[in-house]
Parts: sequence; structure tokens; C-alpha cells
Amino acid sequence: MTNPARTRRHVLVVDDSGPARMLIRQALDGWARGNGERLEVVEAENGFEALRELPRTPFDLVLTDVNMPTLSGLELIRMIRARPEQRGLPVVAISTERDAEDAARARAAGADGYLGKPFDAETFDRLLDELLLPSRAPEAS
Amino acid sequence: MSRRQAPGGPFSKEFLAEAEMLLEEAVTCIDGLDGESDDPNPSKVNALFRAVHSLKGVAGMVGLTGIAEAAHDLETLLDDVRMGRVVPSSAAFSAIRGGLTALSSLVGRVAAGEEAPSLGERLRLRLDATLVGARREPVPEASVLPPDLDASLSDYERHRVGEAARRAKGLVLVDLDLDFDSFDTGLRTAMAESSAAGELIGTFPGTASDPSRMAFRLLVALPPDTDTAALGERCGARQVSVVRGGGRPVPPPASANPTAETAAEAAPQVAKGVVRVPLEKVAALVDLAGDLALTRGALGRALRRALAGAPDRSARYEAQRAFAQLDRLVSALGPTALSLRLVPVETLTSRLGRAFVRTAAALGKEADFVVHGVETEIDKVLADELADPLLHIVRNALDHGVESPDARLAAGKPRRGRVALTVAPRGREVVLTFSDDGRGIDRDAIVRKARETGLLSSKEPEPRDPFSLLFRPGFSTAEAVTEFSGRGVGLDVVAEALARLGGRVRVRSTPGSGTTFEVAVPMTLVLLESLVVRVGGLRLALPGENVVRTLQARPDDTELVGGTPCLRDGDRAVPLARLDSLLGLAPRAGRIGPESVVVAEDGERAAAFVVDSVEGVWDLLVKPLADSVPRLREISGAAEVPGGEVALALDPGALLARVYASAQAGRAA
Amino acid sequence: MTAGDLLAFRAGGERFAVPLDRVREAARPRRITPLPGAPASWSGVALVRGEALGIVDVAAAAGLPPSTPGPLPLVVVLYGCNHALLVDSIDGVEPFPTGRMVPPPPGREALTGVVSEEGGFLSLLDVDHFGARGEP
Repeated sequence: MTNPARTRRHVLVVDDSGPARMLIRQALDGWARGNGERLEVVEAENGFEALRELPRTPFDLVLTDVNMPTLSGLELIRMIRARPEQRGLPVVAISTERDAEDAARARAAGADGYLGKPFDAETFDRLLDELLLPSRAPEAS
Repeated sequence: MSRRQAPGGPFSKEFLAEAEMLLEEAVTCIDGLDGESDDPNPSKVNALFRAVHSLKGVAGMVGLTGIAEAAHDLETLLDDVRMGRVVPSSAAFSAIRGGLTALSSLVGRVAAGEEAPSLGERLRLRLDATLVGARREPVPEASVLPPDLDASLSDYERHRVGEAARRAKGLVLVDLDLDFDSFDTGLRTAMAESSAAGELIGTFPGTASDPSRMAFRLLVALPPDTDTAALGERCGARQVSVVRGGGRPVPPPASANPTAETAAEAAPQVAKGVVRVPLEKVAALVDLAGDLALTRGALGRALRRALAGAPDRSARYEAQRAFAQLDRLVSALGPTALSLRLVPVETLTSRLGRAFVRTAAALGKEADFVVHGVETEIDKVLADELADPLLHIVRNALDHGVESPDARLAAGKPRRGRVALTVAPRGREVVLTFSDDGRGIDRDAIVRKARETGLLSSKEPEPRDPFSLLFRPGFSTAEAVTEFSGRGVGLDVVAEALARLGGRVRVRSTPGSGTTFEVAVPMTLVLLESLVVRVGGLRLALPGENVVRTLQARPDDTELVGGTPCLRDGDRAVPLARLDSLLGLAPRAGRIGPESVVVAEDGERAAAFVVDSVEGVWDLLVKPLADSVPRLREISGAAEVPGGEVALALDPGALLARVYASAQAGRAA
Repeated sequence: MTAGDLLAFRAGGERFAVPLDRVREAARPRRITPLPGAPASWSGVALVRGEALGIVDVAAAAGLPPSTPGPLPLVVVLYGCNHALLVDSIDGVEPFPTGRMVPPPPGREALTGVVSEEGGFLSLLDVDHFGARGEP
């Protein structure tokens, strides 16, 4: 990440719902436009696809739904965290806003951020700023 | 500011498609869970939870807060059920059903163009009202897992580990070390095999032998006595470690020298007595148990009346206590007697296996038949009755499901196909699941075909479960069906045979990857031997135990006793009645010569009934008819007789009462 | 009663509807067997998914000439009761027609109300009206 403003960043979006992936993509586009960033978004419909995509691309961020059949988002996060080369990869768990417990569960599994559905643009943008623009974050300068 | 879509925006069409799919999935799950109280299949409860959770998500995302709110309330209840905080009773299941109905009506309102439909009140209030007393505190279990694994368990996984301990199930860790290029197939296979053998509680990262490989660790709960080595082989596991044995303690390792003591302990198990008993003797015992239960009821009523005014309090107490004891014993006797008829389902599955091999050879298919749960017990009578419909399903899977070796290779599948049969008890039912990895069935094609053949009119909505169309009688005759699957051919016969046994069948399928037939039947079958007669164009069934004899009678065989026509039956004269006029049915035209007569009794009284004809004696599964359906009280239910006709079940007691009442009226007149 | 969606269908040449949330499924049992002693508004009994259900003849219950069901009759199975409705055909799901409902004509207790619409009437059935209550 030598030149964060010009580098194309790669984001993996994992959700079994097509409309949900579309909305997340839209939110990502909004953030990218607002920050003059270029994002390459890869979509995965389930945990298996995500595990397959992960080693192929040097991702900068993973956004994953928590509730997916067969391999859940929490299981996926556990897998990501277990691989040394992916340990530093920021992961955001997305779930229907249930309660603080859900967020705690996601964090316990190793997520860096948590988004409740439906999320508003500000919350989404703030979280992305925090995870993708470390140079602008106060503690990193 | 928000980039969220307004309701009715470009997402409403996608929303509807998604919402309807999720609701359908949820309904399929709850249908599958029906009657499965106490220990519901966790993967179905989870799938149901997930469907409702996703519905809430998509509704929230497009701003349909009324639907999101209702889905949230139902989701909370489902979370409580899956986490063991709500007892999975039939009350809980009907509350869930009610919630789903409310959700689908809300979604229907969006489809009809309403912008933001919502329920008048919070769904939570309605659900809570039906669940008073169903909540409980789950008891935490001490952990037996390795600490690193234990630390990464989610709450739900932890709950399932505890539940497995509570049900004396074993826990194993299946370690997989897979090649990156094919890890997803390997992982899916292992997950499917684990789920088939028991419950896959969670998937965890493993330690790979090489950084280019993918390692996983599956935590699986298994029924006691599962062959874990065989499971490991089916999963392609590097290693299977038993964390905790199920049921009885883990046997000592084979290398240990058996001492005299352990040998003596083992002896009773080896010699565990087995007695062969003819089925008729068991049937007699079951009947006696039934009679005893009836007598107990009568005794209880008499006892209550007799004791109501008894002055001796201690004698009253003693009598009540003794009766309570009798009540318990008699209640236990019936099921115990019925359980004598239970045999391992293996007797049935081995027969299916033989037929499978023969059929595969005849069709030029290469496939394996894999059976799980052969130790599951099933009623001997039921096992015999099930053979034909199940053979049909097996042949169907080979004929129309599994592709030819060449076609499979072309589709990127292994050359050999696979049909897996899993047998498992579920509440008071036994569920037999046949899954093939064949070409699958296209649901849209089914609906299209049903519309084309007129089985489904163009106005009629698509059924919740389009696969149910396969079992409709009209479907099987639709010629072109074979073009896409051939699944229809003869399946109505399967459904009919299962319905007669009180069972049902469902189908799930993914085009390209396979089809699953799920057959659920009652574990014990209480068939009633019945005499079926025809009267006034109807079929009527009388319980065999109430029928004394059938005979042909001429008009001069009857005599008048006190003004009532009677028939001589041995040394007694029994009142003779025409069943058609007794039930208000049209009399048969042009009666001449001898007529068919059935003599029936109920222990106190006997009577002879003139019928149009006697059809035969069959074992029938009589379905009771609710009291709210208006009719003569002599009719207690309905049963399907072979050939698909319906017979009305007669209540002999009520029938005899009517004969005697009209005889008395005749005398009085 | 909530003003939710309706399932509209035809019986005896007229249009009827019931609340959608009371509808379990549309089914085609093999046949309907007449039930001795049942009033004329009941067509008989049918086995649907292994369950014995009483079948209400919607046309007869609404005072129209009774239906003569053939093999594979079309019935609407309801939640919350032990009977199903015999109909000729199903029109589909329709929104509740608010504000134009009038009380049913006398002698038609099985109806909640009647709505006049283009080309005729839509009668709303009271599904809980049927049942042993008040019957012989």
C-alpha cells in the first residue's frame, strides 16, 4: 500500500443473497466515488467460493454475511484468521441487526468490523475509512 | 443522504422473488419438522432460522420495515428454539407456522402493490401469547473439547455440544487435509457424510501439512456405536479423533489383555437373549393391551363415582393410589407390546440394496447404494408394506436420476453415481431419505408441464411445493414427462401406498446435482382389520372385531319378534335392519332373491344388517373425521381402500344403538 | 377481521373469496365421498394428504344449485378448521376490496359480505361459519 490514493483496491463481498450483494456493491461504489478510490469488487455466493477466491487475489477487505447455509460467515472468518498470509486482512461481518451479542460473536470469531443490515451510508463510509485509509486515521499518522 | 432504495423501487421485483423463495424454503423446513418435537433436526431448524433471518435482511434493505419487524420477531423465536431456550413443542411449531403465514400475507401485499404493509400489532405479542410456559433455561455442560477449539466455539455450537452430551451422543473431530484445486468438493463431501452420519456441529480451520493445501476440522456429534473409522474413510479424512464416546463408555483398546472380570461383564451382552415370537402372538398381546386400556378407562370412571361419597378417607386414598399405579402400568404396556413388533430396518434396506444392484445392471448404470441408520427400528408389518413403494423410489432414482457413465463424465461428475439412503427416527416417525447425485428435476418444467396438461389451471397459483405435483394422479399419465425426468411415472402409486400407511413423501431437487425423496411413516402402524361393504353406492367399513359373520338371507329367513323383523343367528334372534334406510341412503333398485347380510355386535348387543354387497376384508388405516363436520354420528372416519377408493368407517356402537332405538320406536308405535 | 389479501375463486358461476392467510393449499383429492346425514351445503369427505376433511360445497352453501364434482375435484384447504371448500376454479390472489361491501342477502349466513364489481358480485365467505354448530 505505497500509494493508497491511486492503487486499485480489491474487495471480496460474500453473501448468499443476490440483492444484498448488489446493495453492498452500491455502497462500495458510493464510498469509492466520495474518496477518489478505485475498487475492484469480487463477489462470492458462499463460503466455499470465498475460500477459493481468497488466495487468488491480494484482497484489501472482505465483507461477509454472517448467516449463510452450509458454511457460515463466522466459520469463514475462522478460516481466514487461521491462514498466516490472511491474518492482517480486514474482515467486516454483515448481519441483520439483532443485538450487541451478534456483533460480539462476529468479533470473537475474528471480524474487525460489524455492520447491521440495513446500514446507512454514513456508518458504512466511516467503517471503510477506518479499515482502508489507515494513513488518515489519527492513530496511524 | 442514504443510498437505500425506496420501497417499490427497482428492487421490489428482486425483493419479491427473493422473499417468496425464502418463505417457501421456510415452509418446507417447518413441514419437515412437523411432529418432530423434543429433538428437532438442528439443520432444519437452522435452515428455517436462516431463511427468516435472510427475509428480515432483504426486507430491511429495501426499507420494508413492517416485514423486517415481523421477521425479526419470528427470528427471535426461532433463535430461542435452536438455542434451547424454548421447548420445541407442537405449540412452538404452530406458533412458527402462524408467524410464517403472517409473513407470507405481508409479502403478498407487497406483490399486490401495497407500499409498506405491516401487521396491526407486533408479531412478538401474538407469538408470546401461544408460548406461555414453553421457555426454559438451558443447562450449560462442562466442556470436553481441546481448549483452542473450545475457545472458538460460537454460542450455538456450544449449545449443540451440550445437547449432544445430554443425548448421550459421541463427539468426534474429523481432520481434512485437502488439495487446493479440489478442496471444496472434498469439504462438501465430508460435510455431507458427517451430516448423514450424525450432526455436523461446526467447521473449523485445521493445520495443513503444506501451505498450498487446505485443512479443515469438522466437529461432529454421532449416535452411539457409529463406526468412526468408516466415517473417516467416507469423509476422506486424514484422521478422526474421538473426543467423547457416546452412550456406554468407550471399550478398552484391543491390545489390552481381557481379564476374567471384563470377560464376565461382556458375557451378558453377547448372550443378550433373543426370542423368536410369531407375529400373531405379538398381535394378540397388542390387542389385549388395547382392551386393558379400555377397561382401565371404565374402571376409572366407576371408581370416581363410587369414591365420590365414600366416608373412609384412607380407603379412598388407597384406592386412588392403586388406580394411579395401574394407570401408569397400563399406559406403559401398550407401547411396550407394540415395540415387540419392531425390527431393525436392515431387513428392508438389504432387500432394497439387492434390487438396486439388479436394476443398475439391467439399466447399464454404475452406481453405489449407501445406507445409513440400518439399526433404526421399524414395525415389522410396516416394513413389509413399505417394500413396494420404496423399491419404486430406488428404481426411479436409478432409471431417471443417475445418468449413464458417459453422461456423468461429460457433466464433470464421477463415473459412478451414488444413491444414499438415510434412515432415522424422528419423534414417532421413521424418516427414510433417498438422495441421488443424478441429473435432478427442474421445478419450472414440472409446473409448466402441469399447466400444459391442465393439471394446474392457468389461474391456479403455483403450489408451495411444485414437486408435490409429481405425485398427483394426472401427472403420471402426462406422456412428455419422461422428456425431462420421467419422475412422474407411477409416483402417484407411491404416494397412495404411503398415504394408506399414514405416511407421506416429499421431493427436493437441484437440477444437475441430484434429487432427494424423503419418506416419513409412523414408527408403529395401527391398521384396523375391516370388513368393507357396499351400500347405496357407498363403501362402508366395519371393524373386523365387531363382525360376527356374513351370510346370504332370503325374505323367509326373517321372523317378527315383538313387531320387529329379526334374523335367527344360532340360538338367538337379532334385529334385522336395512343399512341403506338406516343411513338414509337410496335403496338398491330391483332387489330379488337372497341378500347379503352382515351380523355385527359390540359386546352387549348384536344386529343383522342388509347390505348391497360384501367387498372384502382389508387392513385399513382409519382417519378420524372431526366432530365439526356434520354427519350421522354412526360415521366415525374415512379410510382409503386398495384401488384408491374411500370407505367411510362405521362406529358399531352407534350403529347398534340406532337399530335398537328404532326397534323400540317400532314396538311403541 | 384484518383487511388482508383474498384468494378469489369461482363456484356455481359466481365469484367468492376467503382471506388468503386462512388458505393452506389448493388440492385435488381423488374424489369426494358423500357423507350420509350431512346438510346439502356439504359435498362429503375427502382424504387430503392422509387427512379426512369435510368438503363444503361453496355453491350450495351460497344458495346456488349444488355442484356435481367429478374425479380430481379442486378444493381449497384452510388453516384452523377441519374442512375444505369445493370450488370450480381459482381466480388468484386479490387485494381486499375496501369500502364497497354490503351485507349479504337474508338467508345467506355463510357470507360475510358482498362486493359489487364489474360484471357481477364478489361474495366473501365466512370460513368459520361451517361446522357442526347448529347443525343436526
